[in-house]
Amino acid sequence: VSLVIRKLSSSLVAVAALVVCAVAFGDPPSPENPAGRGNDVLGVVPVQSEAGKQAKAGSNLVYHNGPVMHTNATYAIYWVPAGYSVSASYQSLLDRFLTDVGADSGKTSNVYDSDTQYYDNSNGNILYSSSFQQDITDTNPFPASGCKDAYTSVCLTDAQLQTEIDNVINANGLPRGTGVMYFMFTPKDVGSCFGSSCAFSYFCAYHSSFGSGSSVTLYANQPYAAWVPAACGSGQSPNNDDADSTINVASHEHNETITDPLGTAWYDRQGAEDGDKCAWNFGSSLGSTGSGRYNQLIDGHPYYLQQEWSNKSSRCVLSGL
Amino acid sequence: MVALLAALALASPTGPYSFGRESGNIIPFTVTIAQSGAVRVTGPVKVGRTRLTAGQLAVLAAAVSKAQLATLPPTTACPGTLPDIASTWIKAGSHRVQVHGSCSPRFTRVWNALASAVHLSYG
Repeated sequence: VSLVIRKLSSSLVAVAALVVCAVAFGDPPSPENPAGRGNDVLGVVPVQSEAGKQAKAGSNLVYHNGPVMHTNATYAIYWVPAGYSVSASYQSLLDRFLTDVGADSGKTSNVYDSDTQYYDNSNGNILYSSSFQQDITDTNPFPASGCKDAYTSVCLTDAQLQTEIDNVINANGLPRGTGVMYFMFTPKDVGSCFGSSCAFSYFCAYHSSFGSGSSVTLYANQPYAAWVPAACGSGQSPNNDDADSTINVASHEHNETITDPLGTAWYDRQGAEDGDKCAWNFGSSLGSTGSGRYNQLIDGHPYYLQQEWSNKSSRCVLSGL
Repeated sequence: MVALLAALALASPTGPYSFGRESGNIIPFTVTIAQSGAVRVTGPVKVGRTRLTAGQLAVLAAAVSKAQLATLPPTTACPGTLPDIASTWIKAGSHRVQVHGSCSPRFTRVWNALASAVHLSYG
C-alpha cells in the first residue's frame, strides 16, 4: 500500500511540476498570440479580483523612444451635416474647455501638469503649453455608413474619419505635425468603429494618427459621449450639459496624445497610456455647481475629469505630479 | 503535452464563468455565471436571463471545451489595436483569458456563446 501511495505521490508531484513549468513559461506564439505591444505580460494570470486593479494600477509608464508633444495647438472640428445638430452650448463648452486648458498653461493645478514629467530623446520634457486655435464646423454630408454598430444610425469607419479630417485641413490650409492635434466631434446618433471595435461598446473616444514625418496628423475621434451615458457618461455634469461627458473623454485623449502621440512614447507593460490607467477614476471632488460635482477648476471654470497617471508618484493624480 | 496538462489542471469547463470588458476609454463591466446558474452583472450592461438552466450551462461547457479555451494564452494583444479600445476577457473555472482586439476566433466563439446565453445587451 505504501508503495502505491508513494507512486501516486510521485505522479502528483510530476504533474504539479509540469503545470508549474507550463504556467511559468507561458504558451508558445500562435495565431492567437502574435508578438506585439503588451505581449511581454504573457504568462501572468491575475486572479479575477485583482485583474482590474492590476490593469489600472500596474506598473509605471515606460518610454519607448518615440516623440512626445512638447507643446500642443488644438483644433476642434464639429462634423455636423444638414439634418444633424449639436446644441450651441455643447459646442461652446467644448471650445471653452480647450481654451481654458490653454489659458492655464504652465500651472500645476490641473491634470495636464502630470504630462510635464514625461519627455522624449530629442527635446526633453513636455511643457504644459497648450493653445486652442479655432473650431471648424464641417457641414459635408456623412458618407454611406462603412460599419454597423449597436447604437447609431450612422457608423463611420476610422478611414472615413481620417479622410474627412484630411479634407478639412486641406480646405482650410491648417497645419500638421507633432505639435498639432485635431479633435473630431460628431453629433448624436453617429457612431464609429475602429476595425470591429465600435463606439459605446469598446470605446468612448480614441486617439490615433495618419501620415508621417512633418505631415503626420494627430487626431482624436470624439463621439457624442452622452448618447450612451451608461457606457460613456462621466456621471457628473457641472455645466449641466451633455458636453460634460465628452469633455471628460476628450481630456483623456488630449493627455494621451501629448504623452504618446504616435504610440511610440509612453505606455506601460500592458500597453496602457496615462489616460487608460486612470479611466473613470475621478479622485476627490472640489465642489458642486448644483447640477453636478467638479474636481477641476481650469481658468476658473468647473470640470469633472478623470485623473491621469503620474510615474513620479506611481498613482493617478488630479494635479501636480 | 505540457500545455495539455496545464490546461486540464487550470480549466474547469463546467464553470463558474465570468466575462467582461476592461481598460481603454470606456466604463468596464463584468457578468458572472455561478455554477448554480445564477447570473450577476456589474457595470453598464443588461442581461435577459438572471438564471441559466442546467441545459444552458451544459451548452456553455460544450462551447468552452470545443474552443479549448484553456489552451489560449492568458493575454493576447492583437496587432494594431489602439490602447483606447477596451480589452475583453473570459474566465472559465480558474482560467482567465484576455484579448485586446479581435484576432482570436476561438475566444470570440466562447464570448458569443456566453453573451448569447445570458442575452447580453449593452447600454
